[in-house]
Amino acid sequence: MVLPIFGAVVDGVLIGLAYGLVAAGLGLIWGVMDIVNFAHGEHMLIAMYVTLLASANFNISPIILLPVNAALMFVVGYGTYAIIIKKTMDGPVLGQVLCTFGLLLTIRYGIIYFAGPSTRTINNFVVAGSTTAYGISVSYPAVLTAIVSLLTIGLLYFILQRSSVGKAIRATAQDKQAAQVMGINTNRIYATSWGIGLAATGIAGTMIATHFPIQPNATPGIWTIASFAAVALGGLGSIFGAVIGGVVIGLVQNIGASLLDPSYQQLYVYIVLIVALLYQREGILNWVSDQ
Amino acid sequence: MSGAVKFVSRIVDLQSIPLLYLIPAIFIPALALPQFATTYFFLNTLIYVLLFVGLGQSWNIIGGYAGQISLGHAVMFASGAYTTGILFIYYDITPYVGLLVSGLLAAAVGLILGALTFRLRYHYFSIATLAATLGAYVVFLQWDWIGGAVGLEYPLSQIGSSFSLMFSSRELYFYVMWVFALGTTLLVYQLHISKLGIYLKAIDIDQELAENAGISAFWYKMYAMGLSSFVAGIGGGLFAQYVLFIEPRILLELIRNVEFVLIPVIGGLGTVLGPIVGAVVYIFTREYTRTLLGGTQTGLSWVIFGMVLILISVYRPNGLIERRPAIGNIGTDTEETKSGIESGADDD
Amino acid sequence: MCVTKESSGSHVVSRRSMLKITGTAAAVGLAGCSQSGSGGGDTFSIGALHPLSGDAAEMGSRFQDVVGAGVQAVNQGSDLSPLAGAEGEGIQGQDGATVEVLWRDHQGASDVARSEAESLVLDENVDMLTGCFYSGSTQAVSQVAEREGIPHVCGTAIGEGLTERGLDWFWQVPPHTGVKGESMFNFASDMNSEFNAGLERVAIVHQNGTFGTEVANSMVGVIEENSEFVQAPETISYDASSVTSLSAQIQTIQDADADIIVHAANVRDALIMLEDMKTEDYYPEMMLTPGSAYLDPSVLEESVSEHVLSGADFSNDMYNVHPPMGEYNSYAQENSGTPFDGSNIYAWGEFFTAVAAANKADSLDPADLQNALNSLSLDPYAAGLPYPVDFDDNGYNSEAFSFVVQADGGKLETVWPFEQAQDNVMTYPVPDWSER
Repeated sequence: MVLPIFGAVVDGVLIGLAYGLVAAGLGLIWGVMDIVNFAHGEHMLIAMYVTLLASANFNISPIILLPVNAALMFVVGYGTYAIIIKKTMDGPVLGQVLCTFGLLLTIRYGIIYFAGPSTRTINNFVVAGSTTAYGISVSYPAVLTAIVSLLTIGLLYFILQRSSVGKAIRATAQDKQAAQVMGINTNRIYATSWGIGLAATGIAGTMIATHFPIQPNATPGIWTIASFAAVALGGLGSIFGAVIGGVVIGLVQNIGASLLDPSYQQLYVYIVLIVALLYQREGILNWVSDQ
Repeated sequence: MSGAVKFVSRIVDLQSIPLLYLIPAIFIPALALPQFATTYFFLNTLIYVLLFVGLGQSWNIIGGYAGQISLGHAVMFASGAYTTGILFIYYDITPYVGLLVSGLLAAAVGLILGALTFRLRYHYFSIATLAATLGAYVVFLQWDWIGGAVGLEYPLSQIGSSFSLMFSSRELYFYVMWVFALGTTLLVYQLHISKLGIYLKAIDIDQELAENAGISAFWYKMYAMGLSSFVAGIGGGLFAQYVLFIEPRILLELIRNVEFVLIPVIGGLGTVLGPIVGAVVYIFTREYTRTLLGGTQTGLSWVIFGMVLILISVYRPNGLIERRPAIGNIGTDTEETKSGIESGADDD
Repeated sequence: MCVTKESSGSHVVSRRSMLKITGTAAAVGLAGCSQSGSGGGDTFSIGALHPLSGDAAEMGSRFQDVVGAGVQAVNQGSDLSPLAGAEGEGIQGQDGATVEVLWRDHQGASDVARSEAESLVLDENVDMLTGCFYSGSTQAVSQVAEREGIPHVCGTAIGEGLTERGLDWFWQVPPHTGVKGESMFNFASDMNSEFNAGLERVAIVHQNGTFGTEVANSMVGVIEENSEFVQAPETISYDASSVTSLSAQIQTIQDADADIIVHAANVRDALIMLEDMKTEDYYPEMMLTPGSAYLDPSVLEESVSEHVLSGADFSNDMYNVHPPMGEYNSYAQENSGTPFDGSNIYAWGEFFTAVAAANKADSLDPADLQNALNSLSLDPYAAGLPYPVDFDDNGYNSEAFSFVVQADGGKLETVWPFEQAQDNVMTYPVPDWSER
């Protein structure tokens, strides 16, 4: 049973990088303003459906849609904060939880209302096929997804470290009052964080749609939970933490299915999530400011 | 928008009427409702309203008073449903006893969950409870002894027998649920005016401060969780006795967990009457929109619920009914008390 | 007289139910319809409980389409023969009573199914209940039927134990999963004897919901009875809503040297299975599914689903062997825009079994309908299905049979029984992925 484990490891890493990208998006929002986006998977679903429908109806390649979805999801994120989330910032945490929960329902069922509940796939993706080496098979779209995820994570890191926006974001995350004193418009920074976070998710969603069948009820939950678990594991400590967390989750899923009873595959992720939450260090400086 | 809400709440100023009058004023006339039910559908809706008043009160205890936003209450609900069902279907134990056992078992489950997760705060606690309920769903689906995915069916032959708590008359179910709703409301009322209630509120507002004042947050939260879970478990058992067929999906799906939260939140978190308002609003909307919109408008009712939730979170995060002040005579009309005692979570 | 009104949309809503829905019960007087339901009156009222929202909504909508066409065929008369109730306007056996179908959405939840069923029986006074596709909902509805003494004709749920619960008011029309399993393995056995296929080891993979679990149990039972086949590896299940990859399961199956894979799945995991098999460049000797997801248009339109074999009660070329089914299909397509497919054919049969009972019964009283159903003996095609309808003492249609179909270019072709297959239709052995 040695070889199957390697296959599981490879699969786990490939999808784990995508989990990492999505988790980075979630973690950015979470780290900067302490809001957990329960609708994260549903936001990803928006980008997925743009990809699915554009590809099916207009033959637009997902590659072209990468920047399109990134821009679109940036606007969606920015707008979501500016129009909705901002209003809950001064209220109780309950309000923020309810708000993103309401977004979950609205987005998911809105998509179902307009596009129907059926499962969709993309058939005409330029990159197709698979390869086998040393007894391990991988599909090209899966590899491409992992590569795009890595590049995007790198881009994210670069933005946060080098750009002035990134520095402003980190400053705000570290100390909101101080940032305001220094003239940073915190609301705009929050909105930008939402925009960047969801843009990252949009990129991941675009690639995922190329090689996974997407079903609006089942798909978002998987990604929301995976990204929660990844962030909980990696700690709000660094962007790379989110990525490593994502890879760990991918490995847990695949190795768990391979070695242990696959019927309980998702349960392993839930257990890891709970354990990660329980053993997280208290009082972490949030990850953005920790760079 | 908030102006309109204020206008309405001024008309319906429940704050000035003591709860001791309001509760019977609501519940006693309610007894007559079955007489006015011209359709079974209406009566069925009322039955679910009463059941969900109880379930809403259950969540109210832990979410409204203790401020712990649990997204996993369906686990206790399901535990109660299966306990009552299994005790009766497999072992012929009357549900009148089974319900009590269900409450206790669900309380145990809740306490274990609480023991594990109460050191987590705010979002972290919510995520952990969400993971717990999703995990429980997987486990229950695989668990053959309780029927697994296929579910458990009640023996129809037992309908009408004196110890089965299965009635052919729907009116009787109404009264059973009425007792449940009244009982849980009185329980929360008792909590509201008791020291426990004040301590829970204090923990909710500022846990550190409460701890410094000598209130053991953990044990009080556990107590609240135990109570809350006990009630949820009994509710689950009653649900099983009404529907007569239980399966993991209807007990543990995400929506079930959401309902526990929606109902007290819509009506008024941390208030005694909130879950009543919330249950009426939610259940009537749910049942009638399904009939009106279900066939032709896939999921539209949920889109609307989602938007309602967003609106509530922005304008009235504490629900339609404002909280009464926790402590005796602080019944002023200042904006602060009117807006409810907020969870101090965001003060960190 | 209450006339069914066709909407311009994709499904039929009777005027009376529309009025009930909008709550303006008083307005019923407009149409001169009797308020209190139709028992013994001039309308045969059927309460149909199906998933009209949620994951199966599109399938439910296709149910409504074909049943709507069926309602029209009965009420307006048609020359579809020998379809029960189709000749003459209305149901001839009930002096030309019209049929109406009141649709209710149970969303796949058994508690909702129960509430809606009770509303149909106690508020709408339907004469008969039909439904519900999902086993759990079917059980809950059949309980209501039993309590209230109203017949429940189920043509859309295929759980094996449904008729073994000692109910007097429940009948199941289609072949249950056990019968389907027998068909599937009789096919495999014939492949062994006719073509030396050498099939022996069977891998059963299923989603952990009700459908998957029930099917798996039936399959295990069939294999145990059949000494020709053995299960290898142990039954594999997975969580349908959260699975993202079945590679590990495929590896286990490969390691166990399985010849046949039986996969009970939803659409999403069916596609995942096929895609993952392609990535692994693996295909079993025989991919033999119990249908459902593998017969769904969303799966059939994908090239990976090519050549999959399924136990089914429908194929696109069955009309060659069952010409009346072809006429019914044309009628349904012309009148509703929706042709038959692997799922809605069950709804069609469910409806016409109900109509056949009404046609035969002395009156529309429950007891008469019950007698009619118990003594029903319909020739093939009379209930709109390719097999006869004749219920045994448990209420199960022992005449129902399944056949085996193969996906070819998005269409389903009958491959077994061999006599019912067209010439040279079957592709076996299935070519490797690289050769497709």
